[in-house]
Amino acid sequence: MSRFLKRLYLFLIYGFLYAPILVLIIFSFNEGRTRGSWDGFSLVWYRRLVRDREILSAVYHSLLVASISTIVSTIIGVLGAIGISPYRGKLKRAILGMNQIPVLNPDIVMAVGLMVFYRSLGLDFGLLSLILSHIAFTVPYVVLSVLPKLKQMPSSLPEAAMDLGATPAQTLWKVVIPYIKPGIISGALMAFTLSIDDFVISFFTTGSGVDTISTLVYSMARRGINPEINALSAIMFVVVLLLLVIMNLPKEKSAQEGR
Amino acid sequence: MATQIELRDIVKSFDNHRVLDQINLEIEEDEFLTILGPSGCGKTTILRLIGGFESPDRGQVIFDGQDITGLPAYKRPVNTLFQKYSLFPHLNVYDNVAFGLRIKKIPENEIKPRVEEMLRLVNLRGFENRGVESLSGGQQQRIAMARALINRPEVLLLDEPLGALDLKLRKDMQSELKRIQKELGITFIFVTHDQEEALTLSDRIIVLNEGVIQQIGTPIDIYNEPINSFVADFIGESNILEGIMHRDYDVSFSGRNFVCVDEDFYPDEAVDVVIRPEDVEIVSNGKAQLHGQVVSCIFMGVHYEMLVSTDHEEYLIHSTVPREIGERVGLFIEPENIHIMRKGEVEGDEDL
Amino acid sequence: MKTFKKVALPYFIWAALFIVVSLLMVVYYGFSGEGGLTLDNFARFFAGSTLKTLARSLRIAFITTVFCLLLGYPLAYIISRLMVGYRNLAIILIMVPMWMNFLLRTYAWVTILSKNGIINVVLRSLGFEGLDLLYREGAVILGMVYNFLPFMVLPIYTVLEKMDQSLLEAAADLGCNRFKSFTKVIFPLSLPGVASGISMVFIPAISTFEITTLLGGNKTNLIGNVIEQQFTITGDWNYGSAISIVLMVFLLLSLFFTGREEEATSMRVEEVVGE
Repeated sequence: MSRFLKRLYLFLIYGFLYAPILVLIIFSFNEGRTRGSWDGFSLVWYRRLVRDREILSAVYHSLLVASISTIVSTIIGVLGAIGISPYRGKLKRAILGMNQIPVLNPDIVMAVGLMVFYRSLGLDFGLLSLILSHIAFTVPYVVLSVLPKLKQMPSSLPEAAMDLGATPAQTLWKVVIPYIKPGIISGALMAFTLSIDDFVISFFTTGSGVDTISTLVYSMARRGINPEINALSAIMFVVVLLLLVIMNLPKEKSAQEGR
Repeated sequence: MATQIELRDIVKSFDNHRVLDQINLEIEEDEFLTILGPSGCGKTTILRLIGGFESPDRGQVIFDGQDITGLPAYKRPVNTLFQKYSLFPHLNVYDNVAFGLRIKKIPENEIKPRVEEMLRLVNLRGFENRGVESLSGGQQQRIAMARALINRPEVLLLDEPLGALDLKLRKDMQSELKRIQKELGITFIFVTHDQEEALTLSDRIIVLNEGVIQQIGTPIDIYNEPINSFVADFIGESNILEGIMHRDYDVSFSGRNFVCVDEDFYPDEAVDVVIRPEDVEIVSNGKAQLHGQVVSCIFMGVHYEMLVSTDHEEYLIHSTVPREIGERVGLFIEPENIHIMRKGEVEGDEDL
Repeated sequence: MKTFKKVALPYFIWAALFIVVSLLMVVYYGFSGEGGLTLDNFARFFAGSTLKTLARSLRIAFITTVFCLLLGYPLAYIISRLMVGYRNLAIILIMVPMWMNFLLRTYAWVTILSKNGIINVVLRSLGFEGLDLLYREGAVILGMVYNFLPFMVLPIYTVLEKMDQSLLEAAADLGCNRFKSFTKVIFPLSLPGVASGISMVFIPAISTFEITTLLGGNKTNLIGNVIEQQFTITGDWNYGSAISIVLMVFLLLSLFFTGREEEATSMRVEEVVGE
């Protein structure tokens, strides 16, 4: 393959990946309501967006659910990984197998499972069921991102701490957790991303009146197009880009210092 | 000297494999004791039992007369130097060394001089603010030692601490270890598979194989009077030959009778005969007890290592005078250099 | 570390309830009806029109997977041969869209494809006739390829990027030309990545219902839509659960064909975290 063809190919694929986003952003500044034609620049959809209670509450719910479920699933997942890692052999394979189920199973199967489960418990569908579900499907990812770090940790490290007089709790807090911190951070990040991006699980386990961004977009898209969504997309994209830049800058710096 | 640690009838298995079998051991105060054996012999397990990282299936660990078998590691007055240093990577040198004192909630102004004192002890003053991963293997091991010793343990357990170092560094660290042990006057229990290291450092050596104590004794005892062929083979190179002890002071091997200095065997008992390579002398034909042909001759630095093939076996010989390959030579062994060993005897058997 | 076994207790309780029990309840519902335990739901499934829907879902998931592979492999390969700085940038650029809500992105295609959408406006302004692009099978496949392409690219890239350069040098040394060293060395060694890419595209592709709803209107019904309808509209949980069980069987089959599950997951984890 010649250099030119390679460049062209990359260009086309990235065009394919970013075209829809670009379209959303451009049309968020469109004055008119129609999708195809450009009626002039305007911020009208942004103005409407900030006053749209429905969308704002969906954003609020998405952030709330993602934050709470990230915190809880990180705690459960990190402790889970620490407790699982000493297991060996068949038992460990069984535990890991169970852990894989939510990762590999089609979302919809997990979603209906949770729905059926909540119904049998008599749990009301709403914010609580939503948060519980998000914790349920993000915990395994936290476990999976922490386990490799634990595997890397020499077993003599916590032993050394206890040898020096640290109780198991102190050892966990002062030695084990700092060691696996990168795994915890990436696990928490993944939990947050998965939670905020989730549609299927939320769709089946939320109640009426509690919408997340995903479920709202879904129901809006079925009702017809609302350009406020374009404005929301544009804002989200900018936020994602900013977060990426912020997260990558100090990382590279510290990596260089470390060397 | 008083007994400090006592292991009584310790049995330990992992996955139905018996790693330690009826271990009985007394460790004296302030001695440098080495547990020596091949990998997988259970020596590290003994250390971990004393350190509190494992608990025995049966038996007791006694410390200063008190049963500490069930006491968790963090409550035991011993500290460990691990094989792979195991410094905390997220802490710098100072914080690593200070770890144990901070756990004990000792005020910072007391910690500082003690950290400095420890760093002086291990010759690493001025390294306080260095990250531990920037240190060499030898430096890391010294920091690990400072970290373990700052708690002023009564016993330091050392789990092959020099295993990962290169030869030169290892020699330096050996004398360092000995110096520190003398300076602090505490008990060192040292685990290694390196017989030379064991012979150099120890007050006493325990030779362990397959979970059974083979022999306990001073380095000189163990080298000169190995109790069985395993010990003889493990401690230095040796010629181990099948022999028959006809009566006191009369043994036959290599197709002829020899005079030896051992007694108290059954008549015509089958025995192992151990002869150190440096104890086989190459002599002129008149004095020779055996005759053979030089098969190989390699210069080893201080001596030559030769293989001489006789009618019955090959002898490994260390000598300062080289011989030509193919040359016929005579061999002579002094009676006191012929060590006769009961087959399969281990430490404690003679008490039965 | 044995000391810490007990801290996993909350995890075990959580997993037992939300993973095991909820899954077992689906199985229970799938095998039960009004009169207790029964195989009726499955009988109904294999006799009725749902079987056709399943066949269509399989076909569409298969086409999607093939497209993702054909587009994704060269992409992963080209990126893995870029200079390190560009390489990381290229991978981040693949992941950035994944950070945005995927429904929003899928919905953007409506803007592009619809009757009065961008493509048609452009076509008409050039004097062509407008095309009916949206609410067709093609649009659904496009939406799936768009959404799942990164799932194919990232695992393949991970394998290719880790591949030892000396292997290629060895191949060249042994007389392979570039084409041969690709077919004989690079491609076979990248197969684990391809396998996990395939399972990671195929599984969501066969079970999606949201992409179908957004881009396929009500015309293209897939198995995911049928399950959704059983639970949200019809209320026939037994039947919906039975179809879910069938879907899980396909999951197991695809795992069986694409290799070990652990690899697939570790890939997926790497990809979401972007390490």
